[in-house]
Amino acid sequence: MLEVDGVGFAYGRAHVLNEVSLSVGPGEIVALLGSNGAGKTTLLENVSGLLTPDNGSVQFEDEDITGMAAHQTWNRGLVHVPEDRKLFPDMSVDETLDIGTPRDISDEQQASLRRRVFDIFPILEERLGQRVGQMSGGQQQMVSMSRGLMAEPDLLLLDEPTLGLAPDLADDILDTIAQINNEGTTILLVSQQALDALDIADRAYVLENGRITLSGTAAELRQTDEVRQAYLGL
Amino acid sequence: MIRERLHTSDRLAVVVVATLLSVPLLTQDQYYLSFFMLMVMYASLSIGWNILGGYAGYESFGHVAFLGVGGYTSVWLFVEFGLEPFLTAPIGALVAGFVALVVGYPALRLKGPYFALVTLIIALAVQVFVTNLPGLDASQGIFLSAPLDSPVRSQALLYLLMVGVLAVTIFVARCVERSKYGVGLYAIREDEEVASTQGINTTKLKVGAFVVSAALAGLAGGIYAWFLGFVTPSPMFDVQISILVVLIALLGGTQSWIGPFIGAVLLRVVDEILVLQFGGQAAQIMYGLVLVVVILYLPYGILPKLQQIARNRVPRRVRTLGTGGESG
Repeated sequence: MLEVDGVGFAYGRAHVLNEVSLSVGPGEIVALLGSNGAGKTTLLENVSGLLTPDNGSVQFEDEDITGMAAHQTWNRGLVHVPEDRKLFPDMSVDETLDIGTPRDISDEQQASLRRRVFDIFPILEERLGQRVGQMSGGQQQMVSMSRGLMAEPDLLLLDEPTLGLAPDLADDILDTIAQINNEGTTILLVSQQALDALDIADRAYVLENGRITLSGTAAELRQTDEVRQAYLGL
Repeated sequence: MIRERLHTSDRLAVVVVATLLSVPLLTQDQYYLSFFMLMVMYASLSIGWNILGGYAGYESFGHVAFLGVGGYTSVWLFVEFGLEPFLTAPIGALVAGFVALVVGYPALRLKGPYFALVTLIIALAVQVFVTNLPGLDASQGIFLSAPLDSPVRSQALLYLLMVGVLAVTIFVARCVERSKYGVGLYAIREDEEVASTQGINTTKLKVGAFVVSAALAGLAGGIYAWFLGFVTPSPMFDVQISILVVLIALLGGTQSWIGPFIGAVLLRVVDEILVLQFGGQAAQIMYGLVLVVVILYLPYGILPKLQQIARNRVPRRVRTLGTGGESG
């Protein structure tokens, strides 16, 4: 579904990504692990079109999307839920969902998309009129993911969805991600909380200093000594 | 929250336009007509400017370019073809919109102060370009040779046309405010990158807003030129107009069309009083002071401040019960 092939990217002279290749198959949850500054967010931004790779290519559903603008990849069903939630604080939940909705769909389609989002995050239905700036971190994360879901993504890029959340809230969010995946959305999940991410992921890649240093199924990676030491704290 | 706070302004628009339309019924005096003419013009310019500058946060300091293009187009079409302002002002709007389309694409890649500077320079470049067009001899200024007693030279009629421009401008601004484009522009102002990850074609939206905003200025320019009876670079491309338009919007508040309207009324009244009392130089100094005061004490403008005061007078019980609508 997603094929990243030999992508390199530099901010000026600082090389952030070197020959990064990974793939995500339909229906999978793929975790992208790595420490601060490894290049995880930069890689997602190269995929969704916020940045253009210096070299290499990105294929999405057999189409070359290298360097395509972010709103165009969004139109093709590749939706990026950015790190830090990035909501518009003055908007209500209602308006935030609206802005994530494709512009050319009927009212019925929109209602059913909302239905689906509210099934996943029931609390948002009660808070439709609330300013998102006044909500808690966990609720904001729900709003941010819902905004992404309103676009009916085929592939959802989730950048640190559990960052800054209390452990049990983070667990809830991860459970929800698994649920969204069960309902048919493919997911590329970036996380520093490796153990939790591996719990729900099918496969995972480890990114270090802009290179993929390890990859394999979640079960394999959990057994690997390097991962255990570096990321799992075991 | 974004939309809610706008819902009261429809009836207000009708009241404003009706009041302004009635001015010539009360007085035909040249002085008052002139005063109201400039007030209405600045209000339209600023409300139009606000579509890009306020809603999307791209503050152009070259808005006068489009006023000038509209004005010159309007007058030139009369001199060459004898066309009247009902026709030439809309054509001027189209030409101004086209100019905005051409310069907007490159300029709107820049943000903040860079965009402000580039638009300032674009306005100067457009002036030089227009005044040096071969065969136009525009640097000398072009006079309208229409006889003074013809109906289209009637100051009252031209004033009414300018109120019409204001009505069109408010209507367009209202449409933008309510539409998904308005929300998109708001998203661009808050965080352009995030907006683009939500499928918003930011380039298209920004250029679109710039073109609409420029066309509205061109429309006003077409009428203003007829009101003056001539076009010369000095009033039609005066950089001070650009700055005033920005100042008016910032003074009033940029969230909706009401802010720039309040700003225009206030600044025009203050300016007129100052000029009458102390002369033009003092007025200039006051503008500077107003800008400083606005930035220091009213960073969001007068209107949000008024709304805040009004809200705080609502009894506490009502406030805590209300769910939405608290954000100004």
